[in-house]
Amino acid sequence: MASMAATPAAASRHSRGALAIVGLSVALVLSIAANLRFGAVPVSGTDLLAAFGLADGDGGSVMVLREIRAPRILASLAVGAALALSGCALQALFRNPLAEPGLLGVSTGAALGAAVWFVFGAAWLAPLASIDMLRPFLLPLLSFLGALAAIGIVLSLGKRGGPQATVLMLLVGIGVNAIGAALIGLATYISTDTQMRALAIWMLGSFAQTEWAVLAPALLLIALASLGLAGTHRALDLLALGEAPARHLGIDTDRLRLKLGLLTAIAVGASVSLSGIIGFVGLIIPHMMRMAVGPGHRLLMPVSALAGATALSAADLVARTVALPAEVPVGVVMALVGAPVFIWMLLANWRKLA
Amino acid sequence: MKLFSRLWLLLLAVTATAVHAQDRIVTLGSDVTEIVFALGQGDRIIAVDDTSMYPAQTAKLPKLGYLRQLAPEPILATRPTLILASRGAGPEAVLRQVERAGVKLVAVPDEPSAAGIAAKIRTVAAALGLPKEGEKLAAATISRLPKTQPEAGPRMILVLANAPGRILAAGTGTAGDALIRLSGGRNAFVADGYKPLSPEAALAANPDVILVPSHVVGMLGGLDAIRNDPALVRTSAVQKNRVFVVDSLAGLNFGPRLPDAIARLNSQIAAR
Amino acid sequence: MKLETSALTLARGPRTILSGLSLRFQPGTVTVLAGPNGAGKSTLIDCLAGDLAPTSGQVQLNGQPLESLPLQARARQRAVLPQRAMIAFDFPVAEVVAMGLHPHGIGARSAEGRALVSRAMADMDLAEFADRPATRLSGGEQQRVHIARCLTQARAAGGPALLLLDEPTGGLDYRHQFALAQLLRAAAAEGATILVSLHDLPLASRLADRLLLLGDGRLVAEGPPAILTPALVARLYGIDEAAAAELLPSPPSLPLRLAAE
Repeated sequence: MASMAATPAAASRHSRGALAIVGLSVALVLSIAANLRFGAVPVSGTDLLAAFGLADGDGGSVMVLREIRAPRILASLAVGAALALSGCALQALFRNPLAEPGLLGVSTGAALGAAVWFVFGAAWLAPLASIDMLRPFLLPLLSFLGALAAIGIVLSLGKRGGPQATVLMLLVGIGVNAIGAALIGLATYISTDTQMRALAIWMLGSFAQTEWAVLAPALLLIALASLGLAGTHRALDLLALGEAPARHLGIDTDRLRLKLGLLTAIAVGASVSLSGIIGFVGLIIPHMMRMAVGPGHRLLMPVSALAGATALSAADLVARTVALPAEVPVGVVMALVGAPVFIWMLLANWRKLA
Repeated sequence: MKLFSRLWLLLLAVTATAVHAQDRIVTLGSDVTEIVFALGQGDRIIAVDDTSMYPAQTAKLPKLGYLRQLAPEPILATRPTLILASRGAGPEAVLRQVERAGVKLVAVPDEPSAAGIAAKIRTVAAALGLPKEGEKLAAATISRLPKTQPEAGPRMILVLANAPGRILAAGTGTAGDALIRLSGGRNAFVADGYKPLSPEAALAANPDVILVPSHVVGMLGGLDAIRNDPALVRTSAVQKNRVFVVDSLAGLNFGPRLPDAIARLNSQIAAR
Repeated sequence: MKLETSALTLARGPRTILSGLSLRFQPGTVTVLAGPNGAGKSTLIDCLAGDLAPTSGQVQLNGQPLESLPLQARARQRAVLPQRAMIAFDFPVAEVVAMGLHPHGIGARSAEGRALVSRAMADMDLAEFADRPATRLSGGEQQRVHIARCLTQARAAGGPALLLLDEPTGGLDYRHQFALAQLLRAAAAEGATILVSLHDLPLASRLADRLLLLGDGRLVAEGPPAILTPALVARLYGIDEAAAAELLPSPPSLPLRLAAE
């Protein structure tokens, strides 16, 4: 009786958390290893060691490992973690497990920012783009602005509650997605052939074009946003009680909403600038992890980040090896897995509402 | 004497081939692939992109994915020594990465005009170490184009589709526009680039001839469906049954087979 | 913890929801707020909690204007139970109750935190539910979880606190209504300032040191439970006097504080 919070069940939950972290770390290492090892270009164990400067390997293979696979793996890990964390944050903010950057239109907003970059970037941003230091940041910046606009609309319209809150939120998401798609369509209409193709590929989601030069700034932004999001874990727990009760417990919910909106926009914007639109990571990963380790964000967020990184890097391994010598867009792989899970979650939620 | 010079040419060709015998060439873009085959160097190609479907030998080559959506590793895995990339190949970052891996990459220009065909053939031939053969092929190709009088031929449009049932027409600056002009027609669709074709715009253009690239026929549900499309059904071209299919690769690629495509098209038009 | 309002008025468009309320809530007393639906009870509690800014007038906590106090400082001095408390996601009961520790910087796993949480859970008869997701409990059980969270928040202050409870007995059975009433009396005896809105007049008259009767945003009557006469109740709720007389305990019941002490 004296130690209520440390009952056997609570203890088992903590050990389940530890187990999840260990298990996911192992899976992550395995996924990274498999991503390094497998691909269109065959590499040997010696080449792997050589890539880390530990042996002499085949120059070509080492180059592939260092210049192509390494940045690509890092990108898939960072984007997976960023999308999963963004999903956690948005779900806590909306108190709804169906909130997700893709469904809410935040990813489409970011893609619209990217579209503006592809179509008008050269003309409008020429003075900025000519500064070498700034250039790699411009695409993530425009993606961020697009994501921020989308999140602003969703937050201002979608938080009106009531028993239909879920429906309203999803409808607002559909609306924002439609606006984004329409504006992207407009950009497509104005664009030249080449720009249109770059855009079309963006919308599918792929890591094929990851280079160190574009990876570094996006990684920096994702790392900062992820740390910021992780820092809000206690406030996110309290939000589960509702906004007013969270305020009664000392949380400045207006500031928190602003902070979460900004950080999510940075994380999603930087992710989309790397890979284009990849849906469902932010939806299914936090959901599954919540089932595994419970809803407390102190554990849920790091575990979701680990799981998101693992899942997306594994999906990218499938994407680039399943149709050798060609590739499948990783966004398509994720959607094939994610969409059925989403429908299942929708039905489960429906039962709860009814 | 004549025989001797021919033998000498043959010898030259053989040595030229021998010099580059270890070449492992990847071609990206059906126009580039066709030109390499037309120069007689098809057996040096080790892999192509998905759009390279002519000549028939390409069917046996490994396919590296869609032209505009390539990935670096599959290309590098073929261990190429030379990549010939048409202008549409990409994404750019992927080509940059492949180049950074130390593979020589030649960007082949693609200007939809007679001069553009020549430049394209010369670039490919130079990369293969066969500048003379390139000159010959370029000259032969251009000489077979019809001598046309501008502003005299029939009013034409060329339609495409970006999704099943969604019709676009070719405006200025496009390969379709260049095909119309090179075959002696006038482009009745006034716009920049490929733009959606509304029923009103189609009526305003009121072409005498409608050209449909072969790959688009299926997307739009067959030739009958195209004739009955609400945007096209009232045009004089449909009324007079002057809707023609153009081989997409030969007609829109601006390679050595363009004169053949134009000749076939013009004989079809003349026959009706 | 002294809570005061001066000429508190709140209007929404043309409608005046609260008009000119000057109220005073003293430490060591339980004030019960009653009145018909739409009288402004919840709105008043929202104003006192700082969730709604009054159109005119002021709320003061210990002599300071409420809006001048940072949220964190307010949270350390008072706990609020909203009318329809809820929780999203499957947080276990013990974790929900432990959320009351947050403003005080007490860790849920510290000895102090664990003691506070288990005491509140025992008070609300929740010990057996500690590890069950709160969302899986019945409505009344969930209400007890939220009450326990508020108790934890108030007690963690380490001194007399302010409790604002909007219809805390909603969904509670008699046993737990009674347990809650006793707890509130005990807290008041230790110096807490307590405001509770209730619909149950017999319970109100047993629990309250002072009654505030609100009608149409105005203070209709204020005073000890003895002010509840059939005539007043009939006027307040718009029912006839005979029915009102049946509602009220007769003879006036023993004040609960005696039962508790």
